[in-house]
Amino acid sequence: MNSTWHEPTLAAIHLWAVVPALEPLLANDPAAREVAGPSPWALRLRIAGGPSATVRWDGKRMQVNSEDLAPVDAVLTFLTPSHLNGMFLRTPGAIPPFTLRGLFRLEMTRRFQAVMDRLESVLKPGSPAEDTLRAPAMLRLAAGGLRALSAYDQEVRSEMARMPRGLAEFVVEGINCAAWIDNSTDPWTVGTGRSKASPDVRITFRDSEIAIAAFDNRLDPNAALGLCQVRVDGCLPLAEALNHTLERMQGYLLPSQSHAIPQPI
Amino acid sequence: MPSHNQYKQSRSLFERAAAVIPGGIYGHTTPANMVPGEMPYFAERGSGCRYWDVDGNSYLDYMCGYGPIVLGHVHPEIEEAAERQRRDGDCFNHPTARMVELAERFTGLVDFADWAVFGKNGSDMTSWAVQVAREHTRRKKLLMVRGAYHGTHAWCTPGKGGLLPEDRAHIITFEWNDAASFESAVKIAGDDFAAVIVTPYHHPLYTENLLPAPSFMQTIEASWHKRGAVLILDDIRAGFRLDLAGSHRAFGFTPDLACYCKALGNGHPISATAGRASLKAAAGRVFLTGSYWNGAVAMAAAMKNLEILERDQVPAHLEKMGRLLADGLVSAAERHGWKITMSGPPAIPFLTFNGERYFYQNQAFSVEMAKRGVFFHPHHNWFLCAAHGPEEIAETLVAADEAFASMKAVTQESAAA
Repeated sequence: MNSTWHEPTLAAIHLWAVVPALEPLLANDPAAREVAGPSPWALRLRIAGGPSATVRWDGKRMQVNSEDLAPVDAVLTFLTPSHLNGMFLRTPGAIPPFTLRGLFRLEMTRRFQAVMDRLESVLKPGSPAEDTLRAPAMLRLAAGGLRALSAYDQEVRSEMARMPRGLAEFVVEGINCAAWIDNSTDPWTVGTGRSKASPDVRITFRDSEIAIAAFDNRLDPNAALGLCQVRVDGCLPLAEALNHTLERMQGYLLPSQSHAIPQPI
Repeated sequence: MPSHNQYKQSRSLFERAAAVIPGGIYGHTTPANMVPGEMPYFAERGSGCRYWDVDGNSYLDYMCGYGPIVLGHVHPEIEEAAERQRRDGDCFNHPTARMVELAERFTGLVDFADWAVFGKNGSDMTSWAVQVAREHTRRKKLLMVRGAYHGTHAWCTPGKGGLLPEDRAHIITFEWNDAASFESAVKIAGDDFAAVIVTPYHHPLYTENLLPAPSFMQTIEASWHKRGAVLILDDIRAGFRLDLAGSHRAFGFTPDLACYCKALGNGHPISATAGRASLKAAAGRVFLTGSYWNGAVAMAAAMKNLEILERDQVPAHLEKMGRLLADGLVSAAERHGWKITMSGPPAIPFLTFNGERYFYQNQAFSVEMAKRGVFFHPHHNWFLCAAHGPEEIAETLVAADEAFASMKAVTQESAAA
């Protein structure tokens, strides 16, 4: 209802949430590894004067890092956040990025696009992909999205001062899948796996199906808690604040429930 | 181990509820706010200061329906008065004489009140009072304490769904017990300062309850009088548990309007707003009604309830029992190595574990107490009622002693793990 389409926030979601969701996808999905190819490649997407994301594929494992500024094979540069968003959203008439380096950029771009296509097919609502594949990717997407909103979304930033602060851990039972968010930093810090410190609140999804329903915004939160499909241990206000922020992020990614995930070219 | 903590029927009912009711159970009684799966979801019956859940477990009740039960569940005198009226009818084309009688008794009891109106819920009253203040002052800005609860309407709901920025366009928040913050809010309001709404003490969820600091209310009082604004006291939660003349009496200030609900009808649906004569004309211009708001049964129950509260000096009894409970809980905790704080007025206490910001301990303690037949909420202040006597407090403290001991063991095991 009150979701404002803010281009810098959406661009940060693309770079810090959507692209990093490739990490668990490539780790768990042989089909994605197949399209990524056997050879290593590294590519950076950056907005001039703004955030970036560096994607490194070593033939077996993919790493995405927003702080990594080491040399890569190709740098795709966008002039503005909306320039980048146009590519991800496949906006008609969108201008392609400027490629600053990379003899093999066409091949790399093709492979990058192929794994992003695979990510979309896995994440879209109603996807036939196995929940064990979808849940880790969605959890990574959610964590990265929260970080993006904490950095760029004005409504979230204005609420941050009033929010409970602490470390939250999200766990999906039945599969080895967890992520954490520390909202005491600015922007929030996120990571995958169990948190190293004792969390202030732990949100546990009973299984991957419940986790996916939650991330798809299909879950009735109070009913899920009452049915013990989701368990919240610890600081409930922190969980509520993060849930509200997550709902706002879903407003960016699913503004009309018409598309699940932005698309690269 | 006691035989409690069997919640099969609660869970089964909730599964049915979740299929046909959003949230399964919505609002403040949602299991989401307690410890889901380890506390009851549905009640069956009550008597005095005990109730039974749908699984047949009984509890000493320290929530009292989240406040309305001030004398005890199914109080015989209240129910007799209600039943007498019920036989004559409840919902008519007109109010009954009960409305006039209740307004007379009510204004005779609340010390500043020159008039009274009645509704069904707290939110009815706080929202209407804000309208009256705006009508009286012809101004827009409403000051309220950050984190305070004043009901479910759009201007004050703690929920997030379905709201527009316009709903709160004229709300300015300030910090509890911070006179400078209040003055800053007054400056922002400027010449458009219509009203300030406060609770007699600060009782948000998930934290210690905070009494007003010395002179805090008086600072506010001086400020609003100087600026011609209206002070609205939201006495929904505490009203008639601390002082029958109104909770403001306990803290040394006097409002212009005050809203009541919970303890007014001992479980019968009724709420009220009391006001000064100077606001009566404005009150008459703000439309107020509801399909069941003239219901005579609840008014008859409220009449009898106010009579008993006065006759039995219930607030004094609640304070005495509350102190007994609080002192006993602190001692029991200390015996097992826990440091706790009991905050809020004794009649409406809340327990927190010192240095604990996670609520893990509150949740564990409430679960252990529920197993032992005592219902404490882990995140919301508790309520005492007149049916709590020394025997019930003693029974509670025995359970608490076991619960604290059990928690210690659980925590040590967790640490080892």
